[in-house]
Amino acid sequence: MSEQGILGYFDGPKAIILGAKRLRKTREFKKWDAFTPFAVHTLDEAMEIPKSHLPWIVLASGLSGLAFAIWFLAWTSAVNFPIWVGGKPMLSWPAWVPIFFELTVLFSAWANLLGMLGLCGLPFRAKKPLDLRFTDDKFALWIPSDEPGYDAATLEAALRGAGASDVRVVREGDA
Amino acid sequence: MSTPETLRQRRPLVTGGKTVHDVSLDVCAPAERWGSRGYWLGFSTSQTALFIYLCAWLLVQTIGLKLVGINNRMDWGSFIVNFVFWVGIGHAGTLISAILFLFRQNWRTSINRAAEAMTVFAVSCAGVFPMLHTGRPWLAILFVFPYPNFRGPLWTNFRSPLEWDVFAVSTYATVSVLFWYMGMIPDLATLRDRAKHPIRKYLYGLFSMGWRGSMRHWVHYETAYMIFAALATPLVLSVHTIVSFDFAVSILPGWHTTIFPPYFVAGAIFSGFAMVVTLLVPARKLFHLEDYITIDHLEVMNKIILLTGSLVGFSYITEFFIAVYSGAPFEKFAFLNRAFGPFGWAYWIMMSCNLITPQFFWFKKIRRSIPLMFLLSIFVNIGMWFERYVIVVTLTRAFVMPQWGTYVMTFWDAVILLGSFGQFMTLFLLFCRVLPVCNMSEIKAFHPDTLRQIRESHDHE
Amino acid sequence: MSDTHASHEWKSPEQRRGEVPAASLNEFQNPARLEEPSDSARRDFLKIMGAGAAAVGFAGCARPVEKIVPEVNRPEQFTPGSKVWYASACQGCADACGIVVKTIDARPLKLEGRKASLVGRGGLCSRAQAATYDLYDPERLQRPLVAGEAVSLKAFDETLLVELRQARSVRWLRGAYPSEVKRRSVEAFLATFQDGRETVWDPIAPDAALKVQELLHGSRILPRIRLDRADRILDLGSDFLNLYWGRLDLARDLSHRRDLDAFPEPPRLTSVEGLLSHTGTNADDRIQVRQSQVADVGFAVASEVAGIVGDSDPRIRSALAPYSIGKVSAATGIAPEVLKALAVDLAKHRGKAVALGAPTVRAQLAAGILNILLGAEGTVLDGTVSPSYQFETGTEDIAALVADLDSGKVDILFVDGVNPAYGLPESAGFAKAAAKAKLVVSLALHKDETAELARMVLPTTHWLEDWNAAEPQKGVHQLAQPTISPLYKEVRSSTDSLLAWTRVLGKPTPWNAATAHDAVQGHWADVQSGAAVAGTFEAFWEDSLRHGGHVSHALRVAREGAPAPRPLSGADLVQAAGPLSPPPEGIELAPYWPAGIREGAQANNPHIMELPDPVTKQVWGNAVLVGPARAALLGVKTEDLVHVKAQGSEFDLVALVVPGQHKDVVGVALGYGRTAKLRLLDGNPELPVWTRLAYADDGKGSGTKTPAVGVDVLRISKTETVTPLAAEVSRTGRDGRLSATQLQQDIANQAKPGDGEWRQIAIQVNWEEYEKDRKVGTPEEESKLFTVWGDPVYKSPQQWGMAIDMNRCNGCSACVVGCSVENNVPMVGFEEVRRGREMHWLRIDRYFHGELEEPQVTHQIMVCQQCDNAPCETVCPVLATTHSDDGLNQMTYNRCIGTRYCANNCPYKVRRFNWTNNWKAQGMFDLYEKTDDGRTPNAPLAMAFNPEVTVRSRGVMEKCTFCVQRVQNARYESKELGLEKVPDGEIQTACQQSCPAEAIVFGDIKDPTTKVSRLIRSERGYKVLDWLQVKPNVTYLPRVRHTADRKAVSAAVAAKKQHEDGAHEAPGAEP
Repeated sequence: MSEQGILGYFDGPKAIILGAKRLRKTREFKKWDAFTPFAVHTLDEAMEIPKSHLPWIVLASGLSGLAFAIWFLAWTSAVNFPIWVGGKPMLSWPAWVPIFFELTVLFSAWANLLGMLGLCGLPFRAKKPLDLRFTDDKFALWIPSDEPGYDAATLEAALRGAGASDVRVVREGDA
Repeated sequence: MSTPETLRQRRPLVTGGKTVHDVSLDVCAPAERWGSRGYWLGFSTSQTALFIYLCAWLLVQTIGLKLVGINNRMDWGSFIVNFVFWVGIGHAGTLISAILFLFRQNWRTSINRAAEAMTVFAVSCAGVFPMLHTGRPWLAILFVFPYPNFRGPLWTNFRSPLEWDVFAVSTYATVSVLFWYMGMIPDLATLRDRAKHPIRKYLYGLFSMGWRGSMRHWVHYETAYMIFAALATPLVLSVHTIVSFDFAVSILPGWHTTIFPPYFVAGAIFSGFAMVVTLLVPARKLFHLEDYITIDHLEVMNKIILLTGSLVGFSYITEFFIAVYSGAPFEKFAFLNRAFGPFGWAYWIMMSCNLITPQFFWFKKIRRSIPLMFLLSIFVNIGMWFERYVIVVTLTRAFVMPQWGTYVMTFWDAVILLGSFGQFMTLFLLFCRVLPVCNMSEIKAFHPDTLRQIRESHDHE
Repeated sequence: MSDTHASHEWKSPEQRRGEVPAASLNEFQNPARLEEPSDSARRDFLKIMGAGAAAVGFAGCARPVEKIVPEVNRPEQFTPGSKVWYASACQGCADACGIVVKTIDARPLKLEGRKASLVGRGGLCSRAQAATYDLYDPERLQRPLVAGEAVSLKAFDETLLVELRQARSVRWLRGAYPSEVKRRSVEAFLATFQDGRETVWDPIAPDAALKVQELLHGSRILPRIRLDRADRILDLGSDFLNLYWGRLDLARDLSHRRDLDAFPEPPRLTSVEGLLSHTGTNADDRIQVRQSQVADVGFAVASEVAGIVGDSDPRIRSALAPYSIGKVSAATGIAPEVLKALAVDLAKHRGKAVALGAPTVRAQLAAGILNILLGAEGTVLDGTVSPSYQFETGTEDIAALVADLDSGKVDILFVDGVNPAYGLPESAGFAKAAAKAKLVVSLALHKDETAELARMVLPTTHWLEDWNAAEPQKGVHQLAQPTISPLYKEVRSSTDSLLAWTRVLGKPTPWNAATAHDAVQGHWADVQSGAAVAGTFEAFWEDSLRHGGHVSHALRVAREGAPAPRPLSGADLVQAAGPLSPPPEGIELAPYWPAGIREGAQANNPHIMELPDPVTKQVWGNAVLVGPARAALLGVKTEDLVHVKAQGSEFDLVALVVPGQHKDVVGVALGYGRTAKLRLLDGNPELPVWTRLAYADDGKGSGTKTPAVGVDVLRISKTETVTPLAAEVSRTGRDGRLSATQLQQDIANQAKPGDGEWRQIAIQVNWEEYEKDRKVGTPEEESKLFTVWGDPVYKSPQQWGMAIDMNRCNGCSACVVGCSVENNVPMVGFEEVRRGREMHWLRIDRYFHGELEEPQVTHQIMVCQQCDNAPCETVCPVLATTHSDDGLNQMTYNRCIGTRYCANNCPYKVRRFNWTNNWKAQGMFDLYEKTDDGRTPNAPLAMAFNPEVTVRSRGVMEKCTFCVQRVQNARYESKELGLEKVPDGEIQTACQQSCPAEAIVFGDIKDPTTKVSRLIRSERGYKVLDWLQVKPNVTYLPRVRHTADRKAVSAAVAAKKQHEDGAHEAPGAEP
């Protein structure tokens, strides 16, 4: 499905940050977004985009990795296949610490990448780029049509008022 | 996310009045242009080396390890040396992108991509050796992994440093690749959006995973990047620690020393940075990136080489002193033998390359002189190879005197050592042509103009 | 014949132990059918079984592979894979030691000493250990040759008989072996000719000793030497551990007396020699002198002793007159007080002292006189009750033979099992003379140098395929029986040939025998009547086969008593002793018989060629041995190529610096440099796979290879082959290449006195200190370090451990071969050994203590120590090496991936890695690889494999397992007998079994009553590198040297030092 909404172009980080702040003063936006070629620091604060929950996902996964490592090494070395090695006890856990650590990190790392993509809905719920220049040097605020109280005309005025150099309304069909 | 204070810069990270748009133009250029003659020359050379490398391995694996210099007195040789050497090289990248990120060293942005790529390729070179140095690689590739099997209960020995290696190196390789890849997603999107040819567009589109620079995505992305940095930092320190366990956990005098982990890590960073310099000095010329990888970047790296080099030299002296002072006769003998025994020459090559060479970087002139830093970085690489060589040849004179032997590298040892560089360079040059050599989105984020605007947006109200 | 058939098939120690029903041993083939070899059902069955085995483990049988027929029912009285032991007698040399042969599926696989035998007494030398590899040698002659053409046995006989019928003067040359059967068969055969004469010749025969015995006592009989009765032993360059008759008994007695728990004081062995001989390494004191002056020293000591003991015999006094200590020490540079002290010490132990001489007449005479003066006759020496018969005649007959041949009157010369064309010095001119005989017939195992001269060559059986009987010592009758049917159809034992020919010539054979088997039985009947044994012959014969021979009880008793001393004969000794020759000038070249290869008969046997010399540790060739002082003077170091000129001929050979060798003596080992076309010599093109073993690169990487078989010094030697020759040695400035399992670094490390001692690995102490403190020198108890792990608790009722007494071990290296043969350890060849890739599981480390000029040598047997906290196990990533519950450090070969970390982490460096497929490289697997003429030359090789031990392939780590297969067998046997524990002594590791010195003891260390436990508790026992806390399970007992009055010796060193000129330096020393 192609999305509908209104794009307000700003030239440069400064403009878009200030623009976002101005708009935010006029009213509250639940679903708005911005397209920038790089992470414009403090723009997220200006737009009051909530922080990411990713760290919790990673922590959980890391801990489960650790738990798995502990169980697996203990089970293989002491329960399933106990055999004398170098006169050490079957549960020689100090010798396993490196592997505990590595598995924790490995699980966390995978959770981190996959979690990030998942939270972004990439690649499966990815949407078409609205403007190819967003990955180059263009900055824009985006207010989708399903934003409560969406009205193209008033928003266009508001955007221009907020300092948008150009405003484009995206309708059914065009992208 | 970054706070305004950290955004203040001493010197601009991008010179030559390049705009944000120019960044995309210049960085994408190598991937969009046909390679220069210099490029193809280098590429074909490395590929020939790679081919010879593969043939050499094929021969050694068919006839057997009798072709190389190792023997029953000294069971490890150049293969293990090469392994440790390459793993060491593979430390700079992750270090630059992780630790320097945590320390807010923003100058890292223009070199971290290349450095990470170097890490991945160095680790892939390293990975070849521990597998193929075994007597029966075709079994080793299976047996070292704890997989359930139908021969009844049979697992691996998790007490063995070599098994730790299996986990450490494979984890490190995986995490490096993931980190590297995630950092590339926005840039791949840029390449996708600039691409004209449908196939290019499709491929870059595939790997950029539909990134479109949405602010809500940037929030997650930045968090993930931070977490990766936090994960990779202890990891990068652990990998060479665990590699050093291969030696430190044994009971051999000269190997069994607690100083090894820090000393190996320092050495790894040392050699890694040297390799970054060795690579970037020609690369920035070849791909016209002087404005992004500026002389200031190189100077900072030389400072790090100076620091780590001095650390390494210090640990050389410490371990020698401790060994001789300890009064443990075997330990004492091992180290005196290292310095003055039959392999003393290697020891002194190591000392002069690793202890003396970096000291030249005390001088600003040398730090900022392209040809000199290139030369010195190569010396450092040689020195670091010999450091591992010196450690391994300790085997020739162990406990039991009648079993003392000697070690002479054969022709095939040499071919395989040089060939591994062929593998490394082939991969690296390939990378330069198809992937963004610099981290565009970050360079843009730390572009002087960007920083100014963001500062102003704060000073505004 | 057939009536005795049933009876002679019962012989096995197992029967004696009552473990195996007699019936199950009944598969031994009937030797009476030797004439018609093909139609013996049982025989074919044996081949089939062999072939079956070939199909199973790499245990192949040569010929009958095409003939495999499936066994529908298990053949009666035969269990495939079961071991059968045959008692027999070794025919490898004239010592005729008693042996037991282990056969599996009718293949002899392992020779072991027979405990009950009075000769050998359970020990076995390295040569006999390797004998099976001679038996299965693919280069054995398989068909008779007439003028180079291969013919059938029948055709050969026909051709020969034509010659025999016309022949008038026939000579038969054979090796020394105390076999009545052989002697009388030859006698009967020669009796058929007008002029037939036999010559017995052996390159290492104690010819001089025999002469001197005749001179002193009027009879050519060698005394039996009871070293266990000697407190003082004077070795006048004799190297008796190698060269004397009954050398295994000497070794055993010496080590027995050195058992510090059994005797209040060890004997003191003083060696007077120029080279550092194998015996010299075991000496308590060494006195260095030119090899040519050894006799002078002997006489000097004798004259001093004569003065002390006041001997009155004028002949002795006049003989010794020219040799006062003063004159001799002036001539030799030995401090007089040393000789005086020595003489006093000897005289003090009159009746308990003995002297052994080098194989030259004067040295032997000196020893003989000393023995008379010291009253060794009748105490230590037994010349009357049960003297040695091992060498009945001497080698000067060979001179007569050569003279006869030279005169051209000899029609036919038979050469039976000896190789004079190589073994005789060139000066003897055998080849030239033999060419003048009308016909030379060679009865040989290989196409050796003599066979190449011969027009007719008759392949003989290997002695493991023969019947024979021997009487090595008076009244000690050994019975040798075949343990396999001849591998090839067209071969025949020389005794069988003799008897067959004699019969065809229509003359009576001894005991009217048709075959060797009949002859042996006939002889045995004489033995029975001689020993007056009651009962039927069958019973006696059966009993003898079971016990490998017969010795009357009376004799056993008498041997332990005091024999009557032999009177001094009337001969004149002055002329034999001769005057004191003036001090010689220049360098002298001393050829010597090395311990392993000896006279070179086994030069085609990889186990012998790759056996490290006990002193130099060199393999695959010989070298010019130079003392450090001479090396410094010449400016040569180990591996330099030196040029030697002697007796008008010259050669280049690589130098090897040996500490403690006299400045003016250089030594070269005999037995090398053979020229026969054999794969391990200059290589047989038909068998490329093996040749690489004996070949060496030129060291310049040019890929050109040269045979590494050393130089044959006999070419230039005199008839008395070990007489030193005046020689010139110079450095060529070029590099040579030698291959040794132990390079010279350890010597280099010894450059400073006592350097390396701190390692406390091979510990030797002086008797004087040891007397005061039994723990002297051994490392003090390590305080138990803190460990995060507890100590392992092994639940098995038994724990295996080993104790090695370095005071008993003399470094003879029999254990090395025994181990390799038992465990299928591959030999890897010159180049690989040179690169430090030898595979021996068991090695003997040689340590030099003290100074380069006056070193003391310790031999240390090093095997896997089976550590409780094995460092190798911890580091293996794939659990290929783990610990068994009975404390064995076990290898799982098929799990091993070859990371070699275990070998790096082994402090004892006992692990061995297969750098390539060693056995494949030697053709052991190419059973049916055909040559152009369709033969399968390698076929028999694989029969030598021990099917009980895995054959390791490429890329796999291997090591000593304490002969785990033997441990397991013993466990099963005990289980069957209903014991929960293996009784002490039931398990004998291969090395322990073969050790003539009984230096190795293996057993259960959990049970405090076992022999090994007692030794481990011994207060002088120590563990090597114990402080590492790896908890090795092998305990070593230090070497205790009986170095009385070192002051005098050191004074002597001082005197000698100033007597000599030139500075001394460390050879090839590395910092």
